[in-house]
Amino acid sequence: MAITLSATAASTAADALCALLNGGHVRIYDGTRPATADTAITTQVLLASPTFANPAFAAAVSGVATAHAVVDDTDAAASGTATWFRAVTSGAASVCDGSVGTADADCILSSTTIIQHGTVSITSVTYTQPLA
Amino acid sequence: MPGGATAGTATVIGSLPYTDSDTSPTYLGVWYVYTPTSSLLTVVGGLVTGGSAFVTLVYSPDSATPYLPTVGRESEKPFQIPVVAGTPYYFNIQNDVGAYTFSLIAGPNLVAPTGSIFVNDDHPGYPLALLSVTDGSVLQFVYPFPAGENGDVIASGTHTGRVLVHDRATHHLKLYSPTFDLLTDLPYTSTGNPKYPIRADHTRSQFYVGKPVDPTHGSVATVTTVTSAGAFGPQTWVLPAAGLTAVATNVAGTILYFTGQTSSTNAPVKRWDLVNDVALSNLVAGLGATWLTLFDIIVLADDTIVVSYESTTAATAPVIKHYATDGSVLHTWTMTGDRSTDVHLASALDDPASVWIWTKMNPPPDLNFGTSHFTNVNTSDGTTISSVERREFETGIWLGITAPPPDPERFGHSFSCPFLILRAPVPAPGTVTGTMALTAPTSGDTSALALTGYVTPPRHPDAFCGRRP
Repeated sequence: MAITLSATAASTAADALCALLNGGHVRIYDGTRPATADTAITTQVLLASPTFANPAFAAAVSGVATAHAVVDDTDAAASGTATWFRAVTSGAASVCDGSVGTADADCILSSTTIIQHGTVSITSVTYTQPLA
Repeated sequence: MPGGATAGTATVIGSLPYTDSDTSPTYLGVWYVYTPTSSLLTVVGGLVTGGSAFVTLVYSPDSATPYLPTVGRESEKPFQIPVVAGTPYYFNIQNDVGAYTFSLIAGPNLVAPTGSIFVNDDHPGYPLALLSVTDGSVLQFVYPFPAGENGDVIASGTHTGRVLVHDRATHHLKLYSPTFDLLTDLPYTSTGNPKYPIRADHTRSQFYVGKPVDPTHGSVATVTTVTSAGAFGPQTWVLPAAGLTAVATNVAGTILYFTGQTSSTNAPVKRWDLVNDVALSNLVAGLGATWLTLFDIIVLADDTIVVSYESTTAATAPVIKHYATDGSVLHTWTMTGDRSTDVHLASALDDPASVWIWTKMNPPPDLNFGTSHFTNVNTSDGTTISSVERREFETGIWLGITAPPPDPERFGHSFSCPFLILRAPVPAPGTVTGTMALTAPTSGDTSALALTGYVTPPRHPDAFCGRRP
């Protein structure tokens, strides 16, 4: 059975992770999502890369942190179908991976079709450290 | 860099905007070629100035195949052409000698907010234009998109913003999402090459569509429905005669208003009982032998009816009649312009408080020919709430009988086509928006706290004997 966290502890954990994303990026890729966030990227193509603010998030409340405005990627790197993302630090170190889709995904886009030189805009980001 | 002397030596345009000034040595002219690299670019605009006789012929995908043959044939007038990434477009500037300047620019790629004006082309091969309600300028083009004369938009409900248009090239009805993804393609063939009136229902999330000549029903006109999900309705109403230029229903969906039976000249606005499938008395008689009902009836959300009339008499402006359900005239709005071919109506965002009217300026030789007026009229008093005026581009060419001004519009909407007001915003092409809701992993007890330790057994009291007092 897992432990349960106090709200303060959960917020502390969330703040620590979110701080890793200060000035970092949401890198959106096509292809197969790697097994872990530490797995190297191979043939997946980087489609777009919106940028987190610095600091990336406001202080968490009860384990929930909300990002400051994310800077649009106004010149998408390549055309393709977005399937997953990797959030990275400003130094490009991996922080976490997640799914991309138009529903039931960690990152929900209006369309998974990214067009080179198009704009990808992430309008809100929340990070939640569950209490239990 | 001068244009190439032949297609084989055409000067390559690498990126836009592009401008080149040089001298054409012969009437055969010079050549340029441009190959778009991004699918975000759907339309480019060209303009050649200099010698008054220069024309620009466009060829694609090779230098021998005319592309949209009329484009660029009028000297010193801007032209616009739809383009596809990876396809070469050759421009041959010819028919004169001497100095010229050629410019090629990218079409606009801006957000079209709710309330923007939709105008698709009546000539196949040209794009849909989404216009600013502020100044009529093109915000973005959508290409490819069907050409036709009729269309409407769902104004409320789950499918708000869906658009149904008639594709005159295929005689199909095509249903589009609010961002113009094709949802449904419905064959809807009639006889000849008619216009198929389309009008959205107020409350039932469907469209009423009409065939002016229905070969499966004795070649008279028929009306049926298409749901906003893209399916034909179960019923077809067979009207008394051939010919149909406009349809609309009352808010309850029990009465069909229609016109253009047999002829659009002096045509009454007729009524049909949709429940009992029988004719009713006419709403109103025609306005006279010099008046046409070529397009558009709209029933407002308060059940009043708006009808557009065009005159065949010179120096006569089009009129819009606003009727009560008993046919009495609530208002008559006399618009600007002389005759004004193809007057269209569109439901406004604040229906029934206002309605949109599209009229054209005077026919040739009037110097204003080629100009559109989009007017938002207050339906309670006929006052103009807002109005925009904009130059048309017919078959891709700046429309007018005079030379354009020194800094002309480089892009515009077609002269003739359906007209509606967007119910949902259309993002700039290539724009994807999203949200992220991330949750720390909890499966596999990754957030568990692992503590290890031991318990010391209690010691017998005798072990402490030596310390007892």
